[in-house]
Amino acid sequence: MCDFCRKHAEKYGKWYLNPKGYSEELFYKLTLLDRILNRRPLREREMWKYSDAAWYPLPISKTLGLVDLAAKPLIGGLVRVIGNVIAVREHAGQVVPLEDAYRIVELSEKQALFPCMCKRLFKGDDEYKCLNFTPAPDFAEKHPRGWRVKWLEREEAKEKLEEFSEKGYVHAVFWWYGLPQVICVCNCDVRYCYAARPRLWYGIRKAYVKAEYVAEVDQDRCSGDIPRCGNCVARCQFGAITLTSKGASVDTYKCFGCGQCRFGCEEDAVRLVDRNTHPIAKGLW
Amino acid sequence: MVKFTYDPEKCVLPHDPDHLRPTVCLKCLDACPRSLIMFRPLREKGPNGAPVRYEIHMAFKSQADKYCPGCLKCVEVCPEKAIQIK
Repeated sequence: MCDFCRKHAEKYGKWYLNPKGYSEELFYKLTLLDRILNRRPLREREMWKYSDAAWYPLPISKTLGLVDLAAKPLIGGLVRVIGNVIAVREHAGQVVPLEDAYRIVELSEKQALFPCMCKRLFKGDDEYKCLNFTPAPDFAEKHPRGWRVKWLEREEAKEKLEEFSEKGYVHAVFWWYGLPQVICVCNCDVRYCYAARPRLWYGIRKAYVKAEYVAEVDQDRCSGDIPRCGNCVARCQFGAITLTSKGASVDTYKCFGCGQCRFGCEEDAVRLVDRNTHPIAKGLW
Repeated sequence: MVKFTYDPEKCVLPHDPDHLRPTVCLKCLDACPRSLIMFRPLREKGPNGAPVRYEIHMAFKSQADKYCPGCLKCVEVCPEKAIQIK
């Protein structure tokens, strides 16, 4: 676990399993300056702005220019540093496997589906696949120009997650204005994801942090039957798996630990191991 | 060097209050294999603070050389011939 989330994990092991991250108390926490100026807490103000994003996607338009600067030769390095700081402070995510996504749903109070903003902007299509937790959907409903949301029961939310997993989407938990406040579990298609592409294309690493796990292939079990199998390669959105006649192998440097490759494997040869105990993947975030 | 030019006169994307976004056309967004093309609202605001119309632009422009495959699918698919790639 990297430094910025280690301190929020406490005894729960992972920052997103800390029940504090789902409490209204943390969401409406006032700072001293807020008290002096007699204004609403930061998270609430920003959530109110974000509720407008369906009509006027300013948050994305604003950050887009900054992300684009990261590829410029001289100032690029500085922009990447600033981008990482902004991502940690404001809104960014970490990949989680399906099991952890279930546990997040159990911890959260109420669940609702939002249309995926990335798919909306980059594909012009509304697919309800962004699983948000209270109080985010409440704000969207209250806002005069807010998102259209679909409320779900807890069991329904889990079924939806399973459905998205079958489609091969990567689950990623997103925080909101400081850890450990959890706002949503996104189900990403990396091809048009607005959080994953800055990471993969521009090296803004903290916009889309790797999971606490890393995939490993049991070479004895893997058949390596090339023309017939190869589901793991097809299911990996990060291009981390290669398949030869000797069997599949995972590029530990590329693996994000989403665990989607496991669900395609007929021989049950892929498993997730803890990143912190893995000799190579340790410290690769 | 990939240069994306867009003619807002030819391509008009009005705001659809039912869907809270433009719903007409947007074929170029779907056609792009690397999802580099996106829509964005123009500054002009109508009643209730909603944008009046939108425009198409290329995101991640500085990396377009690297990621735009130059397949010209967006040019082919546009019924108004509003997109040009040089």
